[in-house]
Amino acid sequence: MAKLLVVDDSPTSRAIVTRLLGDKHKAIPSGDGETALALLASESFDAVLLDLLMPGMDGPTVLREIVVRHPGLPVIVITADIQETTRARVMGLGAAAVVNKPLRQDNLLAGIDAVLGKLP
Amino acid sequence: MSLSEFNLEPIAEIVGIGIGKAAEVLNTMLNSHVRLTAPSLELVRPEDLEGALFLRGVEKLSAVEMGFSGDFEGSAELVFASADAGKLVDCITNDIPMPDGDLDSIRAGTLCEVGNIVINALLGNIVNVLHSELTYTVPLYTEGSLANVLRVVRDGAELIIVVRARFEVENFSIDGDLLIFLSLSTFARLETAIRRFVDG
Repeated sequence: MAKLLVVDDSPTSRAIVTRLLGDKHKAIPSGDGETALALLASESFDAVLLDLLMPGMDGPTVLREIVVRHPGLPVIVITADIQETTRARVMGLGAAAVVNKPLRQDNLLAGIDAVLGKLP
Repeated sequence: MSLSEFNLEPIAEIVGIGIGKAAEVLNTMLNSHVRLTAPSLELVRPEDLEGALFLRGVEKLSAVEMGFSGDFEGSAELVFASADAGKLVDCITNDIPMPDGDLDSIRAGTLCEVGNIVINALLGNIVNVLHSELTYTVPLYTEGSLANVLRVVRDGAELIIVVRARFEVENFSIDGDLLIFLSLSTFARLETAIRRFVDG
């Protein structure tokens, strides 16, 4: 079971992710980027599930910070934005994978397994 | 230029693909087959907007608005009758343990997420087809009379693409209006880009 930090401003979205992860992974929710970075500084996680469109510190900014402060920690971007350019941009910023909303359990778990499976 | 001089057929074609994608994402969100019936598209000026809506005459509406910029600038709004919006929220949240919070904020948050996903499905497909790019603002939820929910976005828009769509879910149907608010110059750029794409 992996410990995952779920960063999304939408309580509904966090609840959906938590339900889809079920007993397979442990989800620690965070409603904004600043809180997420503070949690990452004080606890260890296996991966981060990160929304892109958030008020305050947005997803790309959080992603950049994680890449600098926690190199090697995989970040899976979860977004409703289906633009190919968005996918290319966040992968360029260092995301390990992009999973589009609305989430399906099989897609989400496969995305996490693929990313965690690549870890040394 | 009269609005009737615009050839909306190419735009309707591209928007239709996006609406199909929106039905598909609702299907996944609701875990239920969603059938899309008779979407229609109309181009109106702000002063004629209310008369063009599926939802004219509905007393209480729920709306999610997202601004966009980049290759095209404007905003998009998804409008439902509040009663239908309630059914959507119930469908999505009925088997999800929701965090503590007042029902209004859970409802607003859930509808914001629906609007975010549906608007992204619609616009994302259009810009992917056109090899364009947009940046979105955080979705904003409003509730109230038609004048109330439209006030947020109508100021400054010169043209509105009105997409009337009926999403039929297993045991209920939801009528919605998807509105894309644009300036004249942005609409002209969008129309040109779509025509170029369609003409090859």
